[in-house]
Amino acid sequence: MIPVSYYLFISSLLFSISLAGIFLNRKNILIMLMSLELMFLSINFNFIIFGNYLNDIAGQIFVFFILTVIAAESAIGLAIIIVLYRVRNSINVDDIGGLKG
Amino acid sequence: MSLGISALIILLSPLVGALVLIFYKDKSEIKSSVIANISIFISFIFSLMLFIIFLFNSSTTYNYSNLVWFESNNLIFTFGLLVDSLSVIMSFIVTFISMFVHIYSIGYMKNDKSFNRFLIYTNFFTFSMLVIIFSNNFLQLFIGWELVGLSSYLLIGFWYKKPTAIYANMKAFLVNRVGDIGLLLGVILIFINISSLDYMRFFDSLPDLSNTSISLGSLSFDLLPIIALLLFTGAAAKSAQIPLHFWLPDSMEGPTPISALIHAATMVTAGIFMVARLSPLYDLSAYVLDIILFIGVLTAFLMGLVALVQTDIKRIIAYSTISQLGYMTVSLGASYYSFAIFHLLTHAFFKALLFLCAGSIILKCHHEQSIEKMGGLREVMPYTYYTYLVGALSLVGFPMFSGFFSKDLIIDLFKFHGDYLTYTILISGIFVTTIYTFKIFFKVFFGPNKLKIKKTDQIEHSDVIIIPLLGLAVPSIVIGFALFDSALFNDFFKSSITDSGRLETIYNDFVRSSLSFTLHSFLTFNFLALVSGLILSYILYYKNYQIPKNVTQKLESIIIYVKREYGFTHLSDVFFPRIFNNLSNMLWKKTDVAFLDNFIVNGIANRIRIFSSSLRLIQTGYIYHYAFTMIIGLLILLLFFYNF
Amino acid sequence: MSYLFYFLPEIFILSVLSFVIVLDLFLKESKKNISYYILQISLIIVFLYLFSLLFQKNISNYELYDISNFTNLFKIFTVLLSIIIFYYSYSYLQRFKIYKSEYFIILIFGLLGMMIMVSANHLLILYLGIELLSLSLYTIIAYNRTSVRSSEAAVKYYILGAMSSGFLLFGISLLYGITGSLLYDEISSVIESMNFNNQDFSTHSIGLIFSLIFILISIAFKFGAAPFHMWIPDVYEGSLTPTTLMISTLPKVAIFVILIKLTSSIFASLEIYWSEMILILAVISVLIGNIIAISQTNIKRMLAYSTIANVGFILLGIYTGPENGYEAALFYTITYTLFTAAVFGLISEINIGDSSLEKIDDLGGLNQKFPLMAVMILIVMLSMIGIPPMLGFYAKFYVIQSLVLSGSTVLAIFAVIMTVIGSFYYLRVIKVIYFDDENTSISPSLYHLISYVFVLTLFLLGIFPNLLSTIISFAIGNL
Repeated sequence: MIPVSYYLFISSLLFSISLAGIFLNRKNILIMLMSLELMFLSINFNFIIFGNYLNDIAGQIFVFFILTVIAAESAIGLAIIIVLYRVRNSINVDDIGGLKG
Repeated sequence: MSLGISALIILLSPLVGALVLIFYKDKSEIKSSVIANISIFISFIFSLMLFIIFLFNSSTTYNYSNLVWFESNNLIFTFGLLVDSLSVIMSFIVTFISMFVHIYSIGYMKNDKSFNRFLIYTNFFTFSMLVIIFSNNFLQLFIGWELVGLSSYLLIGFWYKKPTAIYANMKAFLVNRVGDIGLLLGVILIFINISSLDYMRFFDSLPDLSNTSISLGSLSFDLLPIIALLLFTGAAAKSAQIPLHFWLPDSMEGPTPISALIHAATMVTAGIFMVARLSPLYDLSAYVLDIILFIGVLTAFLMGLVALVQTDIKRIIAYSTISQLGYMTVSLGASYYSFAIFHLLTHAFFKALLFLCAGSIILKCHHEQSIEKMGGLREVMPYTYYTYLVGALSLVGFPMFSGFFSKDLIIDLFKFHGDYLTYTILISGIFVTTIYTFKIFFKVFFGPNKLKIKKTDQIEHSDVIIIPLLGLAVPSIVIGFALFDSALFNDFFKSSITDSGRLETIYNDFVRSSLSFTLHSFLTFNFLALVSGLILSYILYYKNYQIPKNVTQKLESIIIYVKREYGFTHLSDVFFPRIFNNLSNMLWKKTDVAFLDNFIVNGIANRIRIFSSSLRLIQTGYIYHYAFTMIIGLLILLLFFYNF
Repeated sequence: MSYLFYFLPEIFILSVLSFVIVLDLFLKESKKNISYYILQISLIIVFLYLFSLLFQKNISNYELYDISNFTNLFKIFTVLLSIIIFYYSYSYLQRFKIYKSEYFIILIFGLLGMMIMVSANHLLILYLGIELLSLSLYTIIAYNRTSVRSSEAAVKYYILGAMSSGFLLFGISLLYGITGSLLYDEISSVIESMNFNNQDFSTHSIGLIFSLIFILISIAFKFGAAPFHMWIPDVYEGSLTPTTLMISTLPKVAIFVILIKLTSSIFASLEIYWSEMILILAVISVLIGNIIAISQTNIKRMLAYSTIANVGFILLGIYTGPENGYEAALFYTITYTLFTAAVFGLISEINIGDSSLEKIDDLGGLNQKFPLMAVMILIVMLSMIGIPPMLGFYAKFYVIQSLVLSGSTVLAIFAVIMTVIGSFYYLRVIKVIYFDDENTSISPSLYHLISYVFVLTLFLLGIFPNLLSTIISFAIGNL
């Protein structure tokens, strides 16, 4: 049997990669969205592991809720990006810097 | 509870009036004055009602302190109303005078551009004064104290385009500030020691506090006398006692109704009221009472002399006010607080009357204020003539007039106690008072009509000016007699002032009754001084011998000395200002501009501004920078707790 | 079925919402404002219902959903403030002819989210509430579709907000893994039984501290505490003024309530850790907020930084702990919320030419043209500085007093100095209004009776601060 800490290591790694993806990426805003998805996947991973480890159903149920919310969140995010593209003709991260100071 | 509600109505009605006037669009004089008068009238009716209730049953004290203003931990500040005989009689005085002054103002301030503003100020003043009167704790007292100071400042400088008025209100403000510091320090000392500002709590803890002392370096003082002295500083400034008196004569720059309301009848007596209110404290601070007595005697006599050499009618009455306040202070110093309040009561009526008469004369003489230039007005203005006579007789203390009962009582007190030095000085005070009071009388109403004011068929002024004169003349005659037996010596003040035992003694051993007191008075030195003053005044100013001129020439240096208030004028107008000017110039150029402004204030401000504009560059506008900052924040917190 | 009783206000709001969404499809363009009125009326009904709940003596508690008097008072406050915000938003949207019923529908979704997250006694419900609020906020910021700034602000808030949700979930997952539960009470008793101290470096303690940090960061982000404040200025500036009004007020109170609920239940036994973290956040927030605000020229941006500074003050209050700090902090939060609502309301009612107010200098000489409006702004600004007898003074006073009482005099001095620095940018607004040359294109909308009544009420509340502080101690007593 593989110890829990191994799984946790994986999920933490995924989480860190997604964080790095958000601030290292300077090109397309869609990559940020992907990184966010990855972040939530790592969290889901966490919940599933703990649910399994604790023999508790709550963790797994939580995952379903997260998945639903993330779907809604992505939809809204994409909608916002479309709005942005309409007025700006670009979704390049470097072009989004009008508000500052 | 109905008493509390009445007191609340008395208190708030003038405030509501002022607020309505502020937000009232239609600025017509008649409507504004109706609003102001109605609000004061409501106050007056309720005050009268309370006063009558207390005349029949004065034994109870009603202390409402329900409204917690704000509290935090163990500090609780409340708003409350203290309704007892003292506050009731004071509110009666204030609303009575205020009502008549408001009516009078309709005529006196007619056609003034800022009529509305005037009414707002006076209404607001009445409210502030009532705040002091009904307060049941020191905080509220202090708030009221500052508010009356503010309204007084605004009203002295009411004609703000007049440089003298601005000078005068600045002076009044600054002198009162000195007193306020004393008052505030006193209040703070109380708060430090009992952590409450409630009067009743304070009175209850007096026995404990009388053993407390405070140390300043190696010196150690008893606490209570220090508090009493500090509070008296505030009272002395407000009630214009030497050496903080010199703002009052200058305050006459304000409109005359204001002089009557604020600078004669009500605000200047706030100091007297406060000391009487705190009588339990002053009973325990013996040597402070001696100081108060000394200051009172000094003020009563010296300021009377100054009045003698003045020529401006309002200034004479102003100095007379200071001198009369001196009598009240004397009575406080002798720890007969009730007598002071009684004199305050009668004085309020006759002095307001005198001021309103002066206003009526000034109005008729086209704003000429020097009595040397007036004359022969007896025919022209009979109402003013008779009412002034009433006021004057009351002021000098002619038997049976109001002033007699209160003032002679204070003077005879010292005979009763065998303090003949004070007694003599006060009696000579009567003499002086009589001379200057009748100086105005003879100079203004008799002799040649120098200003050529024609007599008309109509009465001298419109009704709104005559009615207040008559309305104040009546109490100036009767109120002393009316309240002498039935209130003053009938334990009216027993529940609010601590001197009822002394009062009983003096009543049984000396006064016996109002009638015997009056009859007896014809055989005293008081009456002798009065009559001789009257005769001298008659000779000097009516017969118009050359005596005054000769005397003036011979005594010129002394007169100038007296005119300068024995050097006080110099001190207040030249000496202190010069010192402060030099000092402040130095502070301004060396410390303020060079060090504080350029180095500290502007220096720091500039640093911060530069810092700010560089710090805002952090906000680059790029999402990845924002995300990066968040992650940095996360890492900082994580690292911080890894080392924990 | 009796469980439904606990959710009655939420269920009612949700049903009205569903009804309005459908109804709105069938309304003609000119009649769309009927939806607004229906929503407004339903809010008033909810308000009355919640108010009546306040006087019911024995409400049994449901383990998942908290309907104590504390949350009830919070709901009353939010619903009441929502009614005012709705009024301002409606008049603004009508004035600029960009009215759509969706605006209010989304706002009410946000309100629903807040009510749920405050009542939550379970981490899943908390998460769902927070997400419902966040999703509505993302949408409402992007409401002004034609504006570049609006959509830019929305993108920024969306990315960072999703990231902070990730932090929250990560923290929750760790907490779940360590304690095996998602209920506040159970978690708190498990943590209490662990009984560990400063020198404990076991997996459990480190995991707990990690989860504490992640959850706290997420909350700090939503709250706008530095260094997680970066979205605030951009979002405030980018969105419509009524949207800013909404974002700067209600979510702040909700998040504050979450913060004190979590710190007083789940993390109660970890106080030594979170109080330190909150202190760091507080000090940075007060510093950054006050200092950067000085060099701002856009009034919404300036108020954004002032928000950050105020959040810092609130955190200082929380730092001093549950005994007297919470009361001070709640008082501060309520005061801040009310006055921010007032100031943004007033700003939303001032037009500069054809657009809404943006630059501080555009207020020049407002006093000469509209003295009453100027007085209202004056009152609000003075209160924000903290000048007695305004409410803002007591708010600052209570916080500083709680700092002194808890022995951190240095922090109290720091707070006072920062207040002085902070007064600079508020005073500049007053200076511009009263002493600068008149800006001729300034033109307030016609009716501001509600604004005047609102500001006057706040002024009166300041004269009798005990009224508010009594309610607040009652609320904290029922926490």
